[in-house]
Amino acid sequence: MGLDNTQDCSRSVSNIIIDRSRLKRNNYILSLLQEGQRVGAITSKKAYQIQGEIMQVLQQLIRKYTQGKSTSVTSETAEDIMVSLIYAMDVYVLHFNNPEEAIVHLNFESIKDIHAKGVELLRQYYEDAKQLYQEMKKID
Amino acid sequence: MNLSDILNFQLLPKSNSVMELLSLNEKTKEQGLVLTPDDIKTLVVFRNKVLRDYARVELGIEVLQELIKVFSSSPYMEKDHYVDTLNELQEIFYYLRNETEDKVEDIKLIMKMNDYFNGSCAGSVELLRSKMEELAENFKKDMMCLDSLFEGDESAWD
Repeated sequence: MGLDNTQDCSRSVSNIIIDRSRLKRNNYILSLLQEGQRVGAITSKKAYQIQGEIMQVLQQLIRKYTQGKSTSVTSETAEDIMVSLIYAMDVYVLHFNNPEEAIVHLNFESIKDIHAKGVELLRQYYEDAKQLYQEMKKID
Repeated sequence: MNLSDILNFQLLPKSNSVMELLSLNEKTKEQGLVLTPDDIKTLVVFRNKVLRDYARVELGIEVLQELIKVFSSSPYMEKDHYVDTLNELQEIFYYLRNETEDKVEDIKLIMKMNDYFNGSCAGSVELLRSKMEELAENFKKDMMCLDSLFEGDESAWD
């Protein structure tokens, strides 16, 4: 799974102007969706589809959590899983150079892929941090 | 964020879930037990209320399906109280689900309820509720014991 699929959408980026003051660092993807809709870069139909896909991925993660042994979890557990899902998606959309580019990706990538790529980025960041830590220890 | 309302099954008259529940009538009608679409609506509305009351989120209707499949074959299940009894069973199930802290599989909880319902409770839902409260209490005590922490928590439910 490649993380860089920007070639196809580069020309669409110039058509979108995002008000950065409306974006939130926490729940970045959700604020991006709202802002994308406001400026007309994301249709309400697409936003509805994205919400549906987020719920589908959440359901898959909950099933993974219960290992298929239970069909229900506490609301607290479901919310924790939701927070981790949003966090991983935020990491992916934040890795683009600008929010306009991120919006283009939101329009053509599935939420399942966005989440998977976010998780992969987090794994990479974790490995990088570990390596940096080892290098720091050597300096001491 | 209220995920309970978003994720818990919403009733649509011709949804697959309703059709799946209706299709169980094929099996249960042998015992003279049949659910109408209105009965299913009552069961699902009650299920959503119980899930909300117990602060739980459920992805499908498998528990309700399993309760119908398992308890419809009970000699104590009466036609006139079929829906009310199923609602009581749903409430007991999700009570147990919470009290056992998600450490026991759905099907094991249902089979344990069924064993008591058909055994010492002789079809009394009130007695079943009381027995399940006792079981949940014992489960919690066991959980606090070091042995149970290491030897697995589900043994009492096998």
